[in-house]
Amino acid sequence: MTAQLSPNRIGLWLREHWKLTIFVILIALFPFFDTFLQESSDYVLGGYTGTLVTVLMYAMLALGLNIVVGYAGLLDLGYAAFFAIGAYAMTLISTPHPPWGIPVPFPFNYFWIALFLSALIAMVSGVILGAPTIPLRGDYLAIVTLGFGEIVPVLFRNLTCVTIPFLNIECLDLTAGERGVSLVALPGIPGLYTFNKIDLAPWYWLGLLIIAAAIFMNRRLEDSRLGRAWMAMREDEEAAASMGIDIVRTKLLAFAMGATFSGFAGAYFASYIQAVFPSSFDFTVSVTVLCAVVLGGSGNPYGALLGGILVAGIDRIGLNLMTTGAHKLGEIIPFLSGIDFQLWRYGLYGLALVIVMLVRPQGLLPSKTRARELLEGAELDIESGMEAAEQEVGRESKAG
Amino acid sequence: MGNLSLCPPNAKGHRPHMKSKLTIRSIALWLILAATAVFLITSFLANPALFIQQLLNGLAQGSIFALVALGYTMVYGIIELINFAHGDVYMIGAFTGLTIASLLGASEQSDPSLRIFTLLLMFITAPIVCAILNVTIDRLAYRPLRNAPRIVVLITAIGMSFILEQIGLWWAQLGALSYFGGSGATPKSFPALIPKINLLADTAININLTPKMVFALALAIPLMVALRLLVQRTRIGKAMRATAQNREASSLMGININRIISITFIIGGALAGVGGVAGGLYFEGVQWNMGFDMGLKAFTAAVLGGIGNITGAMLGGFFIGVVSALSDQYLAGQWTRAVVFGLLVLVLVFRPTGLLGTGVQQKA
Repeated sequence: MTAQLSPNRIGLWLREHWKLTIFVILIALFPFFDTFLQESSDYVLGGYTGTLVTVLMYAMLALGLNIVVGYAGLLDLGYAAFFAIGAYAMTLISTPHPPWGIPVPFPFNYFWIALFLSALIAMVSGVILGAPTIPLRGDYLAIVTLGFGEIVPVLFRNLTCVTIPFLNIECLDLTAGERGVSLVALPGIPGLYTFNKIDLAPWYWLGLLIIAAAIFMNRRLEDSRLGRAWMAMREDEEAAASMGIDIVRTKLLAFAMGATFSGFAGAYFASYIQAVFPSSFDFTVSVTVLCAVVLGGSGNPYGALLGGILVAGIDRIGLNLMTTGAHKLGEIIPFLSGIDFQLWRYGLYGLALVIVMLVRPQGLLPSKTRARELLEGAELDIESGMEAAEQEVGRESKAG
Repeated sequence: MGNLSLCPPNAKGHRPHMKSKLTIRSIALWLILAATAVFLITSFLANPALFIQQLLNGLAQGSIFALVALGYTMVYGIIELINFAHGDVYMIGAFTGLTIASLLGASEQSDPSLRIFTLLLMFITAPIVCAILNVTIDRLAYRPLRNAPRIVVLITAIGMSFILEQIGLWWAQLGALSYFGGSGATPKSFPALIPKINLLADTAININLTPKMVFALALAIPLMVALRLLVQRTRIGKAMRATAQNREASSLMGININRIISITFIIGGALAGVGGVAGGLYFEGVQWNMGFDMGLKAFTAAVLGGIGNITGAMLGGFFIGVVSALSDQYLAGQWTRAVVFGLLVLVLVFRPTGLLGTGVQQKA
């Protein structure tokens, strides 16, 4: 057991997965390519590293939601709530100027400690918000989580004057409301390097690292006892319960795990942006992440990753490129020169969702079991179509 | 499809340890109800006129919520879909009304005959546009997915909602609409075609009752009664109820399921169109993304009344209207959202079948 990570074994693993290794190295080298692209095109193209950090953040969120929606089958429409909680926890713990005045003392406001603390806080809130939803299913669960997703930003917006009668606390500002809180701790290696907002490549690599960890955990959870319990619950809650699965525990663990991932993403995001505002966590975020999971293929971490990258990447980079391209073409076709695809975001996004759901409801990269489940619906569709055809025939013969 | 879940959500004896939990839940529920009651009584005694004023405001805006909620509840009752695009159909209705007012040049100052003609045209056109839109959405997006898993249809509905918002955004940029100020993404003011006077100005009562409040109620209540009669008394209504109960069995009984579902979407869309114009007149403004908020409020109303239950949706709409008006007055406007959604969460957690309790049970 102790020899598992000997150089020999690592070499063997690399030789076995050489394609993946090369792919990952290429991805990791992107910032250098980006700089090259920027310099060679006179700063017309390139400069995508910063945007990619945001894309990676969406991918992290998608990997977290994949646990809740993909594995456990709990439709969560308020996932942004945990993202907000993670981001606010990170900011409030680590900022030197919290709204209430006195900053949190040293060991806690250090980035790496604050990161895990905010993930922990998000996890606890996942359990707290998950607990009342235990008896609910399907759409009802979706609506309650949507309610929570709407309430949490309202709390952050309005908890600016909290008075607790028995503790002699009067009008304590907890969240600074609409103004938001700024100056968040930066990650770094003590004594060697501290992250900054000029060199974005380290942020990108940190994001990649978190995503690698998230994929690893997703994969391990999928094959674990807990993962199998989640999937059993997803297929049939009653059957799972009668097979001895503790539904309450299993559901709470799904919410807690999903919230933890979201908390990490939120803390990372807050540190990258260096500020939090209540308006960054509205329903659009929840929907974007859910769409990423469903488009990519729920139940498969690689699908969720792909979905997150596609949805956020097209939004942040693709529309921009399309606009630039259309303006270039506009020199030939005048109609195109005035187009700004950024303004078409909603329509294109909605159209993509509808088309993918109609053509490929299992998502782009589905997990095998989930795809089978979702395609069963299609078979039923054929059956009901035949029923309808029989009815038609029956009616015609009656009329004739 | 359509099987009731084996265990109702709060069935006693579902799990051995649920019993103690149930008492904690019911104690919490009663505490919340008692606190609300005390709060309401004290605020009524402090200033009765203000309280009644807010009650009236709440009923008036609640009638608009109820009109939209009916579309949600009917569609959910019949195909178990949370039609996320419904709020945006309401928005399209409001834009249709605004466009007609802009084209006719009707505003607050125009003479009464033009205003009445504009109102009539609005209330005829908007429901037609919205009904066609709603039934088209069903035809293109939902019907092919009739037997697909619910999450797939739900995501499709969210996609349709985005598409409608995009249409709203484009519509808002049309030059004709700049007549009343506001361009593109900013909120546009809706012409106040109903005179802004106080009907109780000459009396001793210190309450501001405006014609638009009376108008909203006078519009919504007959429509609701008519809808209830349609569903309870007519052949189509009977077919709708049968389809809601069991789609397969009703198709075996010779009911044309797709036609009934289309009719449901038509009625729901028309009501959203009426709601859109009434909402534009009442709130005096329209915006391309206002459908989302209205949709959430109306859906909350539908759930409150017991989803699938038409009377429930009406009462739920009035209830949500009154709750938001009271919360605006006594808590401060920025908390209203949290209050409405808190209420939604409480109802779903404590009484998932809604306040009337006879709605569709939640399904696995």
